[in-house]
Amino acid sequence: MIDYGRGPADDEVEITLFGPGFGEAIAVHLGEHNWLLVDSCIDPATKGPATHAYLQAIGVQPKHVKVIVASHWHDDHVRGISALAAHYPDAEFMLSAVFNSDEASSFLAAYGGSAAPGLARGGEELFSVVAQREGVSFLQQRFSVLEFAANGRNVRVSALSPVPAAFAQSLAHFAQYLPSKVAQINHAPELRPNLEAVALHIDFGGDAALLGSDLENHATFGWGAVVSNAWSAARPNGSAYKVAHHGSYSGDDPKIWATLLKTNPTACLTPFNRGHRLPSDEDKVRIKASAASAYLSSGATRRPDMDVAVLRRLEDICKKVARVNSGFGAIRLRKPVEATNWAVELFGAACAL
Amino acid sequence: MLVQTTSPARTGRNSRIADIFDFQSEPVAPKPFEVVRGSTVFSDRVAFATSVSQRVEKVFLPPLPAKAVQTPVGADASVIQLWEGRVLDVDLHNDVMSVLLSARIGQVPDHIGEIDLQWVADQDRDLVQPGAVFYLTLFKQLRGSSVRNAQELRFRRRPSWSRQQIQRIHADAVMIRSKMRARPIAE
Repeated sequence: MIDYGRGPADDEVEITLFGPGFGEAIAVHLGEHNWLLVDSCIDPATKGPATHAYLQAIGVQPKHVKVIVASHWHDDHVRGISALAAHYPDAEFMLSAVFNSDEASSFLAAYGGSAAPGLARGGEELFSVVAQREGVSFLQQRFSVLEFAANGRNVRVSALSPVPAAFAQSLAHFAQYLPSKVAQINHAPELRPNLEAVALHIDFGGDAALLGSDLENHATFGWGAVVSNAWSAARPNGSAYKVAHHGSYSGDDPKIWATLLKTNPTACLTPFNRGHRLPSDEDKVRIKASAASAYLSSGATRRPDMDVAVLRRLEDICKKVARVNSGFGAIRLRKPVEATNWAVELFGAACAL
Repeated sequence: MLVQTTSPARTGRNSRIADIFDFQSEPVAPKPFEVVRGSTVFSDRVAFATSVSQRVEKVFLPPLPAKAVQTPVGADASVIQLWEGRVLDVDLHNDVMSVLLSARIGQVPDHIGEIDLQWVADQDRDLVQPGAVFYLTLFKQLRGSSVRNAQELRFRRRPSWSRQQIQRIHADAVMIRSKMRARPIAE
């Protein structure tokens, strides 16, 4: 169990990024005990949602969690989110607006509902939350997540994505895998590129931060559409950035750094190790060139973890064998709103990029 | 697909050739060979050896894995690991699939890797798509003083969606939509 020390003071803002127990999760202190939680991953020590373990450890009361956002449905971002939502019943639950459609809601029902269990952990987590709650809110570009006054400042959290133009593209992806009488029952595939993810802008009232989720770049449907949008570009530039899509090239657009962020921001990200291994060495170089400092929630080895004889046999058939979960860690950025620099604390397997 | 490969040790790019012929008493000179895709099954060893020999004379290839030869696993073969795999991505250009492997024996964390599609039996090819599930079993068989390895890669063939399931999905989708609320527009 990680010792996280003390919680933030009333006038301190904080962004803590956890992962990859399996995926990533974020806890944001917006000031005066108001917390925003984004996504969920499992803490290997507690076997429960990492953000819940963290909030318990630093003494946050459940009533202070105002909003939980599921940025998208992939299970590396929503593992344990049904348990997380159950811990904070008063928090408003929000997800991508694509699910307010026949295609995406049917996809979620097929791969997360009770018709054929076990097809998608992420789908099941998200479906479970929706089924248990009286209502959930959906987000798209320019929708307000939260707005209130804290410490005499106006705090605004708003969605930068998905952009409306991406809906048709995303829904076409979902529609490809909708059940039919002739379609074989299969696990839910990961739909790429990810254009339905909810990226968030946080205006702390004096400084700002950007949480990039797994949104990928596309001129019309992805980051390109976000950075070229006048409303998005008018948001206060952020000094902290949760780098999109695990630092991948496909999740980056130079204009993110130029339009939405201050010069040399503090960057943090989680690794990804399923099918693609992110960030790559090239990704690390690119991110470090744009940020004053950058941190990875886990720099643990990806070497296989199994009996040597079995590995040798497996490698006869399977190449590039690597461990999926390579350690768990957390990056905490904290500061008084008016301070220029973020104080960075690293926990567990977290390290500088 | 049931395949039999390396016995006792790999010594280089041509060691698999020796493995294929390891039932012969005379040593076989190591030669490059053609990797044939598909699941050709040879009914007798002579036909198989002849076939391979003919290919050896005409083609030079880089050290790719040998063509999987379908051979029954002996009753005395022991399983050293059973993996449940899921296809994450299929690269048809390079004939390779990215997979997620979950061990079914012992406490082994999940791993990822890439499996060449030549390991997939012809009858399973239509199942290779993102989300598909397969089982990869690694066997070990002792034959006197030598160890014979074998593996089996089989895709799970699942039924199609039933009318009842589709109706249930439709009802669940309606439930999801009924709970959706829009957030206000930000200033």
